[in-house]
Amino acid sequence: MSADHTRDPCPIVILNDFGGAFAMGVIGGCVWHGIKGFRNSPYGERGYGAISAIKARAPVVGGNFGVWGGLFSTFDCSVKAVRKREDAWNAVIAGFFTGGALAIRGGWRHTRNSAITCACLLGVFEGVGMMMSRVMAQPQIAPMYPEESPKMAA
Amino acid sequence: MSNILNVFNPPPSRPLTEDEIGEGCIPCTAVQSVVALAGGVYLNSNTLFKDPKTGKIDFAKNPIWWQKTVKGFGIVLFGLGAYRAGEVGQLVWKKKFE
Repeated sequence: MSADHTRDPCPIVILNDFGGAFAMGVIGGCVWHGIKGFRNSPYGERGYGAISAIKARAPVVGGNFGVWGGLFSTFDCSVKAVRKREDAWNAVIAGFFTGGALAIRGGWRHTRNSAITCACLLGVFEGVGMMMSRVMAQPQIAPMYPEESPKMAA
Repeated sequence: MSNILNVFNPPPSRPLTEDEIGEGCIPCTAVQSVVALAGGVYLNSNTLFKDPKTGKIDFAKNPIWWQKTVKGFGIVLFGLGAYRAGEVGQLVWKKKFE
């Protein structure tokens, strides 16, 4: 199988992932905190409440997503470089390290639990992704040829 | 494509080609060196174990063996960063003078 040349090489893909995850977090944060701010504000101030909640919280959510994405991508690249192989285990191992690294300030129990949870979650995502790509893949149908008639054979 | 999108749409398993592994990628080595050095310093600082409010270390949450493990890992990481920084220097030297 040939190499995928559409992908960015590793140091650049980390920045790419960081930016993508940050943008995703900001958009999601805008929706989430916009609705939350709107609902928690009194009548007449709902629009203002939504905007101020978005301004206060959406960048934080974006930053959290960005840190997760950048760290995951960094670990993914490192694991790929060490194993010299691209498969589902890379994401699971990278998820283990990412979960552990992000929770390291919470103590050893928190680090262990977070690392295992993150690895399991990524394993599930990988499994579902593989299953979906297998389901979505078009079945290869063999070409149909007309059968030889007995007259022609004779 | 990105590494995050690859989680949701995984590519088929394959060994990396020589072209992808490459020999002496300066940006990759430099990034790894910086990340490893910074990570090593961070893991060796006591701020990691201190409570942000009280500034004291909770030994139930961060027992001595855990602190030593984290710091040991930090030392290994710092060593790796220094080694990779040396490799970056060698690569730059090779590119410039050979």
